[in-house]
Amino acid sequence: MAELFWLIPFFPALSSLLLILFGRKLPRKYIAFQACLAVFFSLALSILSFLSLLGSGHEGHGLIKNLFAWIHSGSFKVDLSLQFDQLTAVMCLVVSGVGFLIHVYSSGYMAEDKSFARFFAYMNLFTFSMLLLVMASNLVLMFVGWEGVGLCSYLLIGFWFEKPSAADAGKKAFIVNRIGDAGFMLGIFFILLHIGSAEFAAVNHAVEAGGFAQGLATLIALLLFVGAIGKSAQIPLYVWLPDAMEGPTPVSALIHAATMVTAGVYMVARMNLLYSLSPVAMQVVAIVGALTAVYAASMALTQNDIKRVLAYSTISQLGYMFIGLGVGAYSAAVFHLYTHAFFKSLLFLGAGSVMHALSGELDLRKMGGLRKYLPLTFPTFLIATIAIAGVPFFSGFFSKDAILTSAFANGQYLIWALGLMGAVLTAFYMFRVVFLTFYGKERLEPEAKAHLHESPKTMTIPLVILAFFSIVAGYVGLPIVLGKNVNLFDRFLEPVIHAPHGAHLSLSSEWMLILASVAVALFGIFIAYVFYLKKPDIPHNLVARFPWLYKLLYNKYYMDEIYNATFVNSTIKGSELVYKHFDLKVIDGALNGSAKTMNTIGKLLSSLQTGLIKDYALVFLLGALILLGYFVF
Amino acid sequence: MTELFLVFLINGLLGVVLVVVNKITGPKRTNPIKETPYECGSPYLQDRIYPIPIKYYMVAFLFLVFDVEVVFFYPWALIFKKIGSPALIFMFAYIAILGIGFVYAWKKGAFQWEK
Amino acid sequence: MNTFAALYPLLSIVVGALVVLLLEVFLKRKNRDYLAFISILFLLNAGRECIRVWNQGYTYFDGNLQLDNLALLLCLILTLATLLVILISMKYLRLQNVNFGEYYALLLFALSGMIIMVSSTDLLIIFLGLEVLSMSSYALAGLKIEDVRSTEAAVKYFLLGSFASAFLVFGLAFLYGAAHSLDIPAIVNFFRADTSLSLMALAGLGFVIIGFGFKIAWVPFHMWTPDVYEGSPTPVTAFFSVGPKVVGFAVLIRLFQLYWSESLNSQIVSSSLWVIAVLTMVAGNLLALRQRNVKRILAYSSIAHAGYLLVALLAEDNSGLVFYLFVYLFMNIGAFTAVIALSKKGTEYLDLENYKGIGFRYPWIGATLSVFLFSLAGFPPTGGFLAKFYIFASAVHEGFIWLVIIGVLASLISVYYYLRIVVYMYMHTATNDIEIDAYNPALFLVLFLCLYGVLQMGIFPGNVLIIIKQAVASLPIF
Repeated sequence: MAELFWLIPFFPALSSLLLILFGRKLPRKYIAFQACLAVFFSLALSILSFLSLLGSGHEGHGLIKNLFAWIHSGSFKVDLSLQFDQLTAVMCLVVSGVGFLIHVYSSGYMAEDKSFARFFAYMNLFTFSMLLLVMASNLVLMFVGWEGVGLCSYLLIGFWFEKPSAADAGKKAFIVNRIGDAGFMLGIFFILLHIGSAEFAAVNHAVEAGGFAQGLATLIALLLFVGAIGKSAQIPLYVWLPDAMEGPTPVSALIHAATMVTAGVYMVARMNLLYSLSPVAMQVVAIVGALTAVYAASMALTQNDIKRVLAYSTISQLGYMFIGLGVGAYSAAVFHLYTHAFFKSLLFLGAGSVMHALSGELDLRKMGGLRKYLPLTFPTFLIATIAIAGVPFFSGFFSKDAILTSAFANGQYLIWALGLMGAVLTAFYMFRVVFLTFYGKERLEPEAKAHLHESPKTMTIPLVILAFFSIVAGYVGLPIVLGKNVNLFDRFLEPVIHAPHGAHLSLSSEWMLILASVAVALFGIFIAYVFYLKKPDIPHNLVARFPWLYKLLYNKYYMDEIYNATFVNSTIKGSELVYKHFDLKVIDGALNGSAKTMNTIGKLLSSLQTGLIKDYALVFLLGALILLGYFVF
Repeated sequence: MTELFLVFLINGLLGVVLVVVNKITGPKRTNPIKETPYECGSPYLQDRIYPIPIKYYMVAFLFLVFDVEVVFFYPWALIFKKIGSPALIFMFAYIAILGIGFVYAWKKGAFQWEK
Repeated sequence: MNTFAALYPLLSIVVGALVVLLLEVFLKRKNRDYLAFISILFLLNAGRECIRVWNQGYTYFDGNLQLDNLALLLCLILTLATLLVILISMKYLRLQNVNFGEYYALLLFALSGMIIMVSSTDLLIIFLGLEVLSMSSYALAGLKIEDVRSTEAAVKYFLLGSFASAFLVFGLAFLYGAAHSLDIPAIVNFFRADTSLSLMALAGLGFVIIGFGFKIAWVPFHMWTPDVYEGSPTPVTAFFSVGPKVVGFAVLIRLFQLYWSESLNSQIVSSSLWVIAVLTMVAGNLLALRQRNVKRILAYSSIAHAGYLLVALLAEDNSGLVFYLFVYLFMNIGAFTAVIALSKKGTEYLDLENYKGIGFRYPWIGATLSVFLFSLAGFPPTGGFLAKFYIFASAVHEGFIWLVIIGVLASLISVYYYLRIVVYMYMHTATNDIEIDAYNPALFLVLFLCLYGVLQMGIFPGNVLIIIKQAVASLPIF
């Protein structure tokens, strides 16, 4: 079975194709069934391949399947080949597993939507692109998946394109991602130029053989990182992600948890050997990650839109992953990616369930006390919140702690401190959401209250499953203080993460670090409790005392406005200028002129086409005679 | 050789040139008399030419086809001994194809003078 | 190896044609679709035979018929083209009152002629094949007997075609006189050894080029093309635009494969073909600019494509040429299929005016036709782009810089008239309601096959190129 691993991405692709072609004529039940089944097949095959990879022991190098020669032009050679090694296995399981649950959830959530088939066609296509991205065995094919993911996100964010804000958000996501992609593409070009191949194996081989000078490695690593910044929404290209929640909620879950934003993290982890060559690039990655982690968390503090809070929290959590990558703890970063996928998709799906219950209400100020109305959504949402806040024995704790410990162990104290600060903020704003939504007074709109109901089974069952994983997923990567070989996750990834292991700390300082993490998490929760349940007037007093700070945070540091004023407007103005002076006058003039000339010549030529055979024969004869005359003389 | 080709070329070119020159320079005045058929100066006798019925062509055509096909038998007979039995098979195949054409023409009613 | 098996593909086609003829006169059914299916069966069988003898190098008739890989690949291409044409004909024939069973027989006869042409190296045999093809073509062009223009097309095609055939036979006589053989390798050997510049041989070669230039529709031997293309029934036009071009170039590949050298006669031929290529590319595209009839536009575009193909011939890029032919098969038949789809009983919508708003009324037809037009214009990621790219790249490599510059400029002109159709389909609102009843599963099958072909060769050309390289490698090399 495992030899068939290359089929994994093609189930959703086939299903998507069928839905695009015939979707309009198929019954809704069947559409949902087919879309879910396709992803389920991918999941099942991923699990089988994963098991056989486990069975092959730690030395297993993964499988490569060369489907066919794609571009063969001289020395430049790109094959369409897929691979399945340890890193891919983790990503495939996350993408297809979480993706499958989101598909099931969507079949309930989108049941009323008129473009049901289109939605599932795009979702399947999205899953396919992401699977292609993580299974590609070379950078060029990965780029195809990378662009496919970008395209699908555009289509899905702008899914309700009748809404101008949704269409704008789709465009924003697409354009911002293009900026990152330009860097990514340049990076690929440099690698191709330098070693003539884009296969990961070839790149790693070249790195090990010393084929990359440090300067070149830094350049390529930074260019690739630009791509990762765009896709994984880091400073300064994060602006698209908060707007991306204009799409249907399951789409947000898919984008934030399983696909798309994790692509950047995956790519850096995949290229870890190259990054390890360049301390400068690593430092940049770590700093960008740490800044993003705190910056995004601070913006999440004041948002009143439940999905927006979650969006900023995603950005912040991605920042943690980049901290992990930047300090050389690649497997810890992938570990966090993996745990994050569960609790973040759970949070989004839970938020969707709340919206569903409140007929689309998103504003935290108009919720409250929902605990008793949503008996399944509430506990699962709470579990996810606890997990993301970093409370011990939940999955988020293990992965976040692994990252922070490595940062400290590598002497990156400032980054460690920023990480801790982000952890306080995370615990605070997440519990703020829980308290405002599920506890306290009911501040519901009357008509929303009338329709208040728990979501259907197709939506709640995925929530329960995800909640289960949000708790247990972390136990495959226990911290080192509990024993030498308890971190199964690290050991599983060892064949792929070639990076040298970071410095080790003494047992006691490890315990200290863990205690510190726990303390800040609990502290954040405590403040949230005090602010929003115990003494709800404190926040208002704070806002009254520091109005500028509140405004700054609430308006997201005015970043969108700044971008608009600087880049967007100047681009629009500049293109208008070019259009007026260059396009209209020079190009159009030249074009019209030459078009007229061509037309005249065409007219002259066609006057020969009289329709009379004798004229045709005459032209023929004349041509023949000239040709022969030329031959003979 | 060269002279021969010169003759070819000059003749050909002359033909083309004359037609073109005529077309360009010749006056194009017409009147009804000019458009009438020319019958050696005498007044013309018919209003129009009645077309010959298509069945004449049909018979002529079929005759021509089968007549020409028979011509192929002669070279075949000449080298028959050299090739031997395969030649017989080829000729049977040839006649069979011809026969199918004949059957086709027959069934289509090509030999019916009056329907 | 001299074996009777070499005859199987050809036999399958001929027997198929005869069976269709007999069934037509004996069964006398009104609905003739069954004849189409019988023809398809024989075509599939011929294709299977071609694949079976791949790499075997079978010959028959003392080497006069040789199925090397190039011949087999071209046979497959031609069989595929005929198959697609038959599929798009079925409903069309009924709707446009061309419902004759002989149609399928004639198509198969034409195909058999073409198979003879691509699988022989003896110019006399090739001429025989050409005549089989031509005779069937004349009849096919005039099959729409109620339409005056169809009859006109047939007469024009017949008269000018005989004219060109006369040139060809004349040339063959000269070549035989000079080289004492009509076998292509012998002729080429003669030219290579000929330092004294034999006039007879050169003139013979010139006549042969003219004869094939007519079939391929090079300027100035192209005058028949638009009228014949316009007048013939549309599926027949699709057939004309692909089949004769493929065989013409197949013969020329064999003829010129070893011919190009430093010798003086080769330079003369090369430079005159250079001029023809330029004339063909430029005039074909310029003439298409002013047309408003879609069939005429496609006729002129096929002339222009003959020019691009000639560039490949000059650049000795045989695999590029075959690849171009392959892509051309799909995009051209695809475009004609879309044109056929836009028709109803007794009427075909051919004027540009009728294409207004088609893209929204008939999204599938509009979308696929757009892809074919983009491919014809040479936009990535379609096959048309890669095909042009390969040809022009190897021409640059061989030093035909100016030819490539002119070619690229000419294809820029072509973008205008191809995109004009797309613009009419999508950016004009429909003025008059046109009704279509040519919807037919077979038509859509062909549309999607062609779409698949165009995209497959534009995006993943690898495997096709490997096969083509194998085929071209079977040509003799000095």
